Amino acid sequence: MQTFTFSRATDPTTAIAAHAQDPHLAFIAGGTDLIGLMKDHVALPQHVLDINSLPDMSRIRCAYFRDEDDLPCNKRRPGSGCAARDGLNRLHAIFGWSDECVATNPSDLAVALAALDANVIVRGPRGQRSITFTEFHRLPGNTPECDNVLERGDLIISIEVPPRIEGRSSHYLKVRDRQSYEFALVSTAAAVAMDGGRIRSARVAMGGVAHKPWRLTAAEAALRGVSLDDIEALKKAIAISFIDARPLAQNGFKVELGQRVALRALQVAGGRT
Amino acid sequence: MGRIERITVEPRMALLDALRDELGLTGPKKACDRGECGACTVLIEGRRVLSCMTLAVMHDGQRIGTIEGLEHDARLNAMQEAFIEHDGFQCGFCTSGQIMSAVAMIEEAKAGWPSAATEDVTRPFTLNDLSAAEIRERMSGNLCRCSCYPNIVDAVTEATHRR
Repeated sequence: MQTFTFSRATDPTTAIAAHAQDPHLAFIAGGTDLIGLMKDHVALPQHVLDINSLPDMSRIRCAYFRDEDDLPCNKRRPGSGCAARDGLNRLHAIFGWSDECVATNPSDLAVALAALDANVIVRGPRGQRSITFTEFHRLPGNTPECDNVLERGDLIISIEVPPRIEGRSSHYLKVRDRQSYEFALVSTAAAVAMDGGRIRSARVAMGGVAHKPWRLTAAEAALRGVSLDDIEALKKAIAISFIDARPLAQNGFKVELGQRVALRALQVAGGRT
Repeated sequence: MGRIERITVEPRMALLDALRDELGLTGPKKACDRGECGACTVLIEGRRVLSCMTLAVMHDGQRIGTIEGLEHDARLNAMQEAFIEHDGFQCGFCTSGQIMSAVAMIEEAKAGWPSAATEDVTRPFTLNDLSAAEIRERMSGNLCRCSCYPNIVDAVTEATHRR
């Protein structure tokens, strides 16, 4: 790793001010993401501030981002290009991508939080605010180096998950190449409120398909009133959210796989009432 | 038990390197150095941690447990004995990480932590729920290229129920 100075944060206000003032300062918490990036010389902070003793948070998945031979990656080096756009992109996005970046968000937890519309409580130099989870992560656009809407000095204080009527019957289904220790090829977090055998309301978010967890908003609307036994109606509702899927050269299978995973997750969640 | 050590290191020194190079504790192994294999697993305040993915300076003042500290009065710990009885190692390189991870994993199970393999998360998890499937899931962060997995599961199972 490159050398850096180290200190421990004693209170959120000082930590936030330090981060806001110094663009070369990085927070460290668990460190399992940052340390890896520092060992690969992708992250090069000059000062590391340990926030573990503050009271009361995996970045992005694309092999070219961590590539030691410095292949084009707009996320790692803005303006250098996107090697995955026309390269190896089996694992990459089918929604919301741009020519500048086709990477996906690898998190499992984020997909569940997006489905449940959790709130991210952020404290920054200008005070505290709450960000709805679905607005926390960004689409790459032409600034893929920014994964989320946090600004310098921002510190995530907590994540709140309000009780949702759909929260009692939920399921997270993750499909991946290996049985263990592997990011999702495609995943679904599904939560439903049932009325007998019919879906009263549903929340469905997908992982492994975009730069952020992907809510199937159109499908959610179409799923209201659908019977859990009516497989064709379930499939039709889900398909609506896949009309605007834009697969890349190697990941066309995700369009079909995604719909099947969403269907299975909904069925399991609905059966849990 | 244990001893207080005082060393001066650069901020960029990983805990693993501090333990091995500054303190001569070569039990924890550097295999992948990227937090992907578990061979460097140590205990910090009783919790299992990948020592290659954390900085030594971050743990100033904390209790750190390595494989060297498991034996007591020249007697091996129950988990170590189980690994020997069940032939849970071949080359031995992953073994200290496996054992440290397993020791902490049992405490997690005792504390009621569910895992991704847990079927029913609506009731508290107990040691009795620690099936082979649960052990495999909870130990899935410790890789073994010699493929001693079946014997490792047997060893951990035995040590769990020997308590």
